[in-house]
Amino acid sequence: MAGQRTAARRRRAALICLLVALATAAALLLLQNIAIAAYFPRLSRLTTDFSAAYLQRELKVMAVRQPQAIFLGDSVLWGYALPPRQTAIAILSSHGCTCRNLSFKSGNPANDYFLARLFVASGIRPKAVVLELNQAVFNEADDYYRTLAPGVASLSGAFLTPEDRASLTLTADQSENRVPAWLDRTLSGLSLLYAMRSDIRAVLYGDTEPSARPRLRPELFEGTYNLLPLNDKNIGVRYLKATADSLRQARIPLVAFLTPTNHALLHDYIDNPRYRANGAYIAGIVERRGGRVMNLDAAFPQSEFIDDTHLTAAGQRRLADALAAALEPYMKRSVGVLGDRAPVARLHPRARLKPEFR
Amino acid sequence: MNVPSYELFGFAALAAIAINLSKAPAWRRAVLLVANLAFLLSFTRNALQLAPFAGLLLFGFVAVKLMERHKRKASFTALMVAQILLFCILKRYEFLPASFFLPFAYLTVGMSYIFFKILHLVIDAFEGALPERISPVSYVNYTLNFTSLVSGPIPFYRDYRRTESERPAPLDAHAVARAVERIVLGFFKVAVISPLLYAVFQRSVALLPAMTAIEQRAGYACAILVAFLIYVYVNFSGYMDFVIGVARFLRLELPENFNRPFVSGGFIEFWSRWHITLANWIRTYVYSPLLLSLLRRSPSRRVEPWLGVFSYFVAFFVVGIWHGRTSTFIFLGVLLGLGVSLNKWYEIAMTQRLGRLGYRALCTHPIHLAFARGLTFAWFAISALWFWANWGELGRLAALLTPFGIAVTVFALWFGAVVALLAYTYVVERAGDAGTFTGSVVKSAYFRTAWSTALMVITVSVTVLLNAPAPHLVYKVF
Repeated sequence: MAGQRTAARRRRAALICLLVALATAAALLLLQNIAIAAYFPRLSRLTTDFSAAYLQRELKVMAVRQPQAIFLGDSVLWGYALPPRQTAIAILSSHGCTCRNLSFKSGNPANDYFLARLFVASGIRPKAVVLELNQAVFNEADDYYRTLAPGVASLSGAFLTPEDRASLTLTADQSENRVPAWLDRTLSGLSLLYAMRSDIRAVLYGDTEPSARPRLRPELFEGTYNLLPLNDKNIGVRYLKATADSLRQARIPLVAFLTPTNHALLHDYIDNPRYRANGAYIAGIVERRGGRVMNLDAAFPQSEFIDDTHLTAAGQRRLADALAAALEPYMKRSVGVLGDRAPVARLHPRARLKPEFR
Repeated sequence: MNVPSYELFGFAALAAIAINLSKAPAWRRAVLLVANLAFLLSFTRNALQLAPFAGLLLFGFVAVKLMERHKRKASFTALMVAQILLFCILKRYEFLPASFFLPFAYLTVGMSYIFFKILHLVIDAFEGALPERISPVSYVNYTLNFTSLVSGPIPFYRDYRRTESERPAPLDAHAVARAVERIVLGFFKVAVISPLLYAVFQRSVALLPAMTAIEQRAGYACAILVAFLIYVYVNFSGYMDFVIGVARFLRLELPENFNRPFVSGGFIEFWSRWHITLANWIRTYVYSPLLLSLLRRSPSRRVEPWLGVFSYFVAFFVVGIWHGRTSTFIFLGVLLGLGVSLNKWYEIAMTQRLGRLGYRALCTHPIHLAFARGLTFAWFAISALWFWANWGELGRLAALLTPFGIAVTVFALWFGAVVALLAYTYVVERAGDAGTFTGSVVKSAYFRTAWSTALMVITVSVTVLLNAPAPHLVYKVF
């Protein structure tokens, strides 16, 4: 009898311990979630491995505080090897533009398209969308060409058609690929710390690589551009058209620019008619859908490049100058002349011209 | 498989489920054998890389069997010398010519610990101290036991055999809770505290040369010494907590390897609280035989106490050189040996002056105890410099500090340790005192459950954020 009572008491104590453990874990998870939701900063640009949770949060905030301009692009616009404050978009923001930078390091037309769909579906209506047109990301030989960022892929489920799924690589989170997808989803639902781990890491440890290769040689960039004539078979072309179409449908003005490129470095590879023809082709896609295109392809001197396309801080200031000028017609309030604050070199006159190779 | 890691935890959980399917000792031994071999094969499946490891084990087994049958002193000596030589060759000790070494890469994980276990078996077999004739399965399970393969502890065979062969106590909720508590604590120490301390250590090493004032440099030198020592302690004792907890699920009781070492009132006591199983091994198989042999040859009773001083020096000099293959570790051995032998010398001198009771009273005096604790900590922290730095780095550090800075560092470290350890012992003793309200709360099952859960959540959160491979184990290299 006494033994039974002891056993029952032990069972009860074990059960209470289990409940205490569950309650403690739940309380700590809740506290973590509240703390992250309240204190994790709104970043001036997406992190390298931005999470779906962060992107969703950013979309929600943008739906409330409508931005004047949204920027879509790749590492050039993102500000590769530069701290966030030195990027062109941060400079525009510091001059009063409520700009949001949705470009990221491995951006490509497919990502641009789904990001555009996502913000339109979230009720975000910027006064203009600025789209970077980099010929390098139309290169089918590059893996990134068909890869959708994990953060974009997991939010775009509703927009992904069977054709999209067949033609694109929908990656799992590259850094955490040991975790099965179902477990990843469950953990992301329970814990914001888990869901936003890559963004938190970027904030804690920094997200800017040391700048550039010590000695730039043209050979390092061999194969960056595929100069076969672009056409509808190219996935990048298809998604660029879709992006322009969906923005036009949503009545959001589109301003595009051809990525500044280091012609002095890449002369052997790109200073030829095929490169110019492809540039004209992608510019034409945007223009035929009512967008405006700035040709910044050869607008920057070699000294303003870190490597083939990535700009130095001075280059980013000049890019900001160009973007400010391009955005001016769409803004109620001018974003200002950047030169009044910092000594910004005048933009190359060709930058404001229509693509010269048309 | 990294230790400790979630993978190892999963592996141990599978082994624990299998081992608890039956209480029959034969079943438990068979499951352990499979688990131990699987764990070893997780490091490499390349037969060539495993061959030297297998050779060491096989040679050890043959030696044990020979000693069980023919207890001849000459063969014992020859086998011991051969075993030690084989170990030194496999560990590539620098005092041996390079031509002795095998010209390919091979598995060495936990080799030192296996070597200690084999020597223990050979010596005990020669002395007839083994509880029974050792079977191949028991030999493999003892030497390769996956819970103690990588970094110890080094249990004695009779203790291991008892937990392996006896009918185990039931794995009830209390036993599970105790095991989980140790695992969580171990994981927390290794995955959270130890990287933090290592970051402090590395940052201090990087920043020290940039300091201009000598007192700033001394401050950073103190930070280096303290952070590294506590890092080693947290890392190693955390690993021990983890494997002791895992072993409990397998119904094995591993010996404790740490027992609050920094509250030691002297170096001799320190070695009964730090890396306890290694120190016990050294005491049993180096210190005691050496002392006995010297006492037998001793010309007079007056020198006998000093033979203990010498034996301690030799025994802990061996501990130092065991840690590494370069000349810095010879100096580490000198420092460790000096620490223990000076402690013994002080004990003899004070006992002669004050008498045994007087010396005991002195040792328990709070002021004496506090300064002795501080000195022990400082000595070991300074000795640990030779654990991580080479002569070049030590020279640069000395040049940056200057003799005056070194003196300031040593005294700051000593007095800092005195104050910090006083505060630590006061807090721990008060918190752990079962008579007080705090003590009763801290010791209650519910508080401990909540505490362990909190540590687990913090550990998982930090590992998620660090996104690093399982943390580096300091003692894995030995």
